[in-house]
Formats: sequence, structure tokens, C-alpha cells
Amino acid sequence: MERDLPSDRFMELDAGDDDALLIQRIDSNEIIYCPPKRKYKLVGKYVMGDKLGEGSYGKVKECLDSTTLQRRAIKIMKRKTLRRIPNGDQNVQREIRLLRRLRHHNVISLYDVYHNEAKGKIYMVMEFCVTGLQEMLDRSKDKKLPIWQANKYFVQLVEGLEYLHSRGVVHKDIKPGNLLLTSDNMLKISDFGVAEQLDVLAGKDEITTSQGSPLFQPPEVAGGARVFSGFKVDVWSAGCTLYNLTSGKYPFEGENMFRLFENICEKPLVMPEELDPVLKTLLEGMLRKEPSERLSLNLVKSHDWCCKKHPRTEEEVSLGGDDDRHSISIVPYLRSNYYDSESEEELFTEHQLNESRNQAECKSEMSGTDLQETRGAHTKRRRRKPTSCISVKSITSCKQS
Amino acid sequence: MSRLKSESFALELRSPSMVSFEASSDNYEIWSHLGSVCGGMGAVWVAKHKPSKKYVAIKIYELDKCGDELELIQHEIRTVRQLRHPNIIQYMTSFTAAQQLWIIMPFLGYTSASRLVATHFSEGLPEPALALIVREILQGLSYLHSKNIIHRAVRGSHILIDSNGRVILTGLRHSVMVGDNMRWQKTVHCYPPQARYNLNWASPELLEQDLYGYNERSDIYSVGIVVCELGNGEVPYRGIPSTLMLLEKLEDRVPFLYDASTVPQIAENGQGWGMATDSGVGGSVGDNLTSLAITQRLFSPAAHDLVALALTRCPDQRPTADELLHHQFVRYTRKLNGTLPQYLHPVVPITQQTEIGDSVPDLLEESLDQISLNDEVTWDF
Repeated sequence: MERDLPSDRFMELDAGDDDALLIQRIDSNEIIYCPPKRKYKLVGKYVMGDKLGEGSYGKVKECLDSTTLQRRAIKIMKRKTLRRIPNGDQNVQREIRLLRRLRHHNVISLYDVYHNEAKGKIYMVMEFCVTGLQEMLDRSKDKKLPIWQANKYFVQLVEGLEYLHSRGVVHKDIKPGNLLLTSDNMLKISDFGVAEQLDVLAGKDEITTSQGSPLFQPPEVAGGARVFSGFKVDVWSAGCTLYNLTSGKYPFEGENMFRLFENICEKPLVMPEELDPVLKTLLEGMLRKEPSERLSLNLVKSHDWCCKKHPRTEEEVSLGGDDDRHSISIVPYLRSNYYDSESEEELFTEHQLNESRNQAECKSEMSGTDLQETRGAHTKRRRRKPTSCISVKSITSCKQS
Repeated sequence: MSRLKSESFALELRSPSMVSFEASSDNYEIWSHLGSVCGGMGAVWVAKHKPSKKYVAIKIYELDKCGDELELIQHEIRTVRQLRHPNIIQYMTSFTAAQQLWIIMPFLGYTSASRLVATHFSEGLPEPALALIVREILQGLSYLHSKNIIHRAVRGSHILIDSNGRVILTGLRHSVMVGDNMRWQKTVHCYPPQARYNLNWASPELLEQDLYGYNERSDIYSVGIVVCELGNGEVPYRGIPSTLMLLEKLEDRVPFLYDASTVPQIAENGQGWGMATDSGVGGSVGDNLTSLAITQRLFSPAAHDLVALALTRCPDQRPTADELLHHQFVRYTRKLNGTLPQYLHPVVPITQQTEIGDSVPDLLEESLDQISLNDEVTWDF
């Protein structure tokens, strides 16, 4: 009983189905696609929208708070999937528990949690972010940000971390992929799946495990220390993040996990030549192998590079990319709810699809001026989505060639 | 009312009449409850300033009840203090008294434009009154926009009118400064924290929350909605789900003024009028449409044009406050002989109703009771 799957996938075949052994040739005009229907669906007071992303834990969709009309993101997780992930259910419960107690403008907010026992689903309604630092890096030239922009985000990261540490929370998985951005350029630390709440009364930040991303792990974790300072783990990861944002590289790499960890523990830190000396001292301080020598967050915050004003010399890497406005995705869902949507249903064939693909390719090879036309929301959607509209599995007599 | 020693934290402003209003709750005699504000966090009272025997309105917030809103209230006080314009509210003083925050402001005889509509002009204000109010609002907005402030909550209940007919814009706790955190930016992206109160007036680009953001022209859209609100006697989109309102706005089905030129054509089309005429259904599932007076009146073409211009979907093509001040509908006010109070006749300011009895609190109370003020919305200072 999976209702999320688009129910309107179908394929039309002219040839006889009996000939199961032959590979049939199907004209591209005979493969008909139906755009996925955007069915209006409510979870609590939230109207569901398009999918924003997918992770090992589940998917994230955009949604709209029907009382305030504010855009939100909703993380949808299935109990069944969680059970298959080591500590999956535990991690989700911990994330919910942690986020409920946190409130800071640089930490992602959790607004609502819903459980649907019948469907075995957990919904987490969170702040809506248009993009993340990793996405921006992927899109940018040389996979790095202009110094002034990196500074702007790093300062916010430090502020968020400072708050988390003041509440006794160690994030343990700081990396560009977990740093999201709202439309007004606010950085939000997200994904508290492996974060840890320290015992506030103990007055120490000792932790024993860390399951964060390998590239951003400090030597004490890579080397397998039994007990280590939690706060300094976050400082290291934040240092790796800053290194990555400003140079486009990682401080330590390795062809496999073993090599990587070996390098993190033993290889001396190599600074990218082009960075200015002030930034180099900061990176060097944050990436000291010995946790006790590593800068504390406080020292990072008051470091010259953080306090200094950086001139806007280079062009900003925009949040949206070329002309992606990250528009609200709810409109078609509302339309299908409030207006009669049947008439608007348009079908298109594989042939048409290929044509439009070819056209788009031709145009993009030409000058940039013609590109505008093909970038309309309509053509874009058609180009991106169709593969998901057809399920080859359901037709036994047909195999993809 | 507890009379507790107050601690002033705000600077005292001198009123135009050079009476100084002390930052002390002892000096005010509270008379009558006017309404609640900010979702019940506070209340507005009519009071008398004892030394000068003047009427004032006092907004009292219960600090214990304020959570996040406290920040907005402080923002409001700070913002208002920086502004000085005849069409923008001025606070005489503000101070804390025990667990309360008191904001002293002038008492405005005609109260709010939306209340006028609710109590006396259920089918809308006469066009001259509408034009005068719009002119003053645009002047106020032009000033705010020159200070890089977006009001974000222009609506009938934030338009107050004093006994001389001066129009005053309030509700600045919803406002935002452009380029507050990032100097080079000309647009704002943050969603107003209390947007839910003002959704019907909000511009489509504000509601879209995309990377385009919104700017001061968002207020102009709200002016268009306000003209419909005050001209029709009810706010567009009243009583429809907010998600449908959103859809209507994003699909550019705009509200309009009801009169003989717009309403009959709707009636002919029968039930499906909203959709068929492409004219903002939602807009307007109004009860008022059936009224005879509406089907017989006629707004000037200039009035219709101003509404259409102000409600332009694309903010870049929407006129600015300054441009609208030169619009025919606004220029037309220069030819008017009367003043706003004359066009509001027979309504008289609340203060005048009671001045005959001269400072008899009961009388004021009585006249206030007649106009049921239980609706939070109509008295949102």
C-alpha cells in the first residue's frame, strides 16, 4: 500500500503481448508519458510539495504551512527503512530530542513531528532552506567560494557551533553538505543524526564515538582513541570545512578509508599556496593534530580572519545558480485541489521528448542567447522527470536495449 | 489597575501641543478597554492624561505573556522613535510598569479605517474619503520607503484617523529595514514572523518566498488590497482558505472594486463568476456583491485604474508610492472642497461624542460599547 508512487504510470503497446521471447521494437511515438500528477495531500496542517532531496534515511519534500503560508521542509522516514540502518531509529529519535531543545538562527529549527503508525512513517517538519554549501560548491568555479563569501558563512557556522556547545551538544558531522542556506543567506547547521548531548553536570566534553563523514574526522577519531574531547572534534571539522570552502580541496585525502585515516593522523598539513597568511594561521590552528593544542571555538571566533572585513572582490556564488529562483512548488498541488485539473493533463510521447532533448542540446551548443527559451520551467520539468514516469519492470515482454 | 513605580526606559516625546507625557503610570487614568492587540498579548485602553486632561490611547502589553513577540514590540518602539512624519504614528512615551509595557499614543477620534467600514460603511467608503485616505497612506509609505523601511502590514486596521481627518499609519512592528544585515541587498527574503495576521494583504512575491525576494513595492500591492477593502466594505479573499488565496494571487487573479461596471457582468455569468471572468474569485466571495447600492454606484475609472496598477503581479512593473502620488485618482483630491471628516459624515469622532458630557467616563464607555470592539482585527494599533 504505497500511495506515494505515482499511480499514473502507463505504457501503451501496439504489438501483441504473447510474443514474450522476442525483443520488440517500439516506436518512440508509441511510448506515452503522463506527467506525474501533483496530488494535493495534507500532513497535519502542511500541504505537501515537490521532493527536495533523498538520503539514506528517507526523503525530504517541500511543504507549506497552511495557516501561515510559510514554506517548510518535511523529512519523511519509514520505520521499515530505519530498522535496516544500524542505530537508524535511535538516531532519528535522538535528532528529534536534540532539535526540540535547540533554538538559534544558525541551527535548523524543527517545528513539528508527526507519526503515522498505520503507514509506519515519521514526519519531521523543519525550516525550509533553498540550498546547501555543498550544492553551491559543486556549482561554483574551482569548487570553492570567494574569500569574503566563505568568511560570511564561516562566521555563522562558528556562531551556531558556539550555541550548540553552550547547550552541551556536539554535532560531530560538520561539513558543507550539512550546512544549509535559507533564501536570506542564513546558514543553518542541520542533520543532527549523529550528534551527541553531553552530560551537562559532568562539566566535561568527553565522548567516545564519532560516526561523521571520514574526510572531516580529526586524528583522534581516525586513530581510534577511546575517549576524546567532543568540542575539539567540531573545531577540526569546521577547520576542514573552511579549508574546503576557501581552496576547493580537502586537507587530507586518501584512496581508501584506511589511507585517509592514516594521512589524517600522520601527514603534515599542507596549506594551499594562494591563501592569505592570516587565513593560514587560522586553518593551521584549527587543524592541529593534538586536540589540546587545537584552537578553542572562542579563539577561532576572535581570530583576526573572522573579525576582519573582507572586501567583495570576487563575484558571489549565487544561492540559486543561473536563473533558478527556487520557486514555491506547491502551486500545482493547490491547483489540483481547488480547480478541476483533469483538463490540464497533458500527455507526451518518447518521440516528443527526444525531440525536445535534441533541440535543447543543439541550442546549448550555440550561443547563450537562445538558451533562455529552453530554460522555461515547463521544458525543464519535462526533461528532468520523465525517466521516473515509466516503469519497465511492469512489462515482461519488453527489455531495455 | 495596579499603580506601581515605573521605570522609564524610553525617551519622552513632546506632543504637538507641548504637553509632556510622563513615563509613569500614575499620570494616566484608565477608562475603557478598546480592544486587544498582537493576538491577546496586549490591550489598548482609552485613558486620560491627568495633568493635561487629554485623551490618550495606551497600549499595554503583559510582558509575561510575550514570548518572541517581545522582540517585535521592541522593534516597533525603536522604529517608531526614529520616524517623524505626519502620516506615521508617534508614541508620546513608553515605559515598563511592573510586568507591563505601556505605550502612550495619541487617541485618534475616528479610530481605524477598517472599523469605520465595519460600523458605518458596510458597503465601502465614499470615493472622496477613499481617495483622501489613499493619498495620506501613500505619503506615509513614500516616507517609510525613503528610509528603506518596508511596512509589510498595510491594512485597514493599521490606518488610523484622528478627529481632524489626519490619516496615520501604525503597525510598524511588522516592518523591516531593507539591507539591514547585508548592506548591498535591495530586496528582503525573510518571511514576516507574524505574517499570518496579514495574509490577505500580502503581496504575491512576499508569499512566494523564493530567491527573488521582495522590496518596498510589496507595500504598494497591499495599498491596492486596502483600496478594495475600504471601497468594497470587506477585504478581498475574506472567508476563503488561505491556500486558495495564495493560489489566486500567484496565478494573478486580482481583486477589484465592486460597482456597476464590474458587478453586473459577474452576476450574468452566474455561479462560476470568479473563474469565468478571471477576476479573482476568491477575491470576493463577498456578501456585498448582492447589494443594490453596489450595483448602482460607480467608482471613477481612475479608482479602478489605481487598484489595477497597485495589484500588478510583477513588482518591477508596479508603480512606486511616489509614482502613485501623481496618479489621477490621488491628484483628484486636490479638487475636493471637503475634508475627510466631512466625507465621513454622519460619523463623528468618539471623543466628540463624549465631549458634550465632558470627561464623564461612563459616557465614553457607553459609546464605545455600542461599537462592538471584540474583534481583534479591527483595532490592531
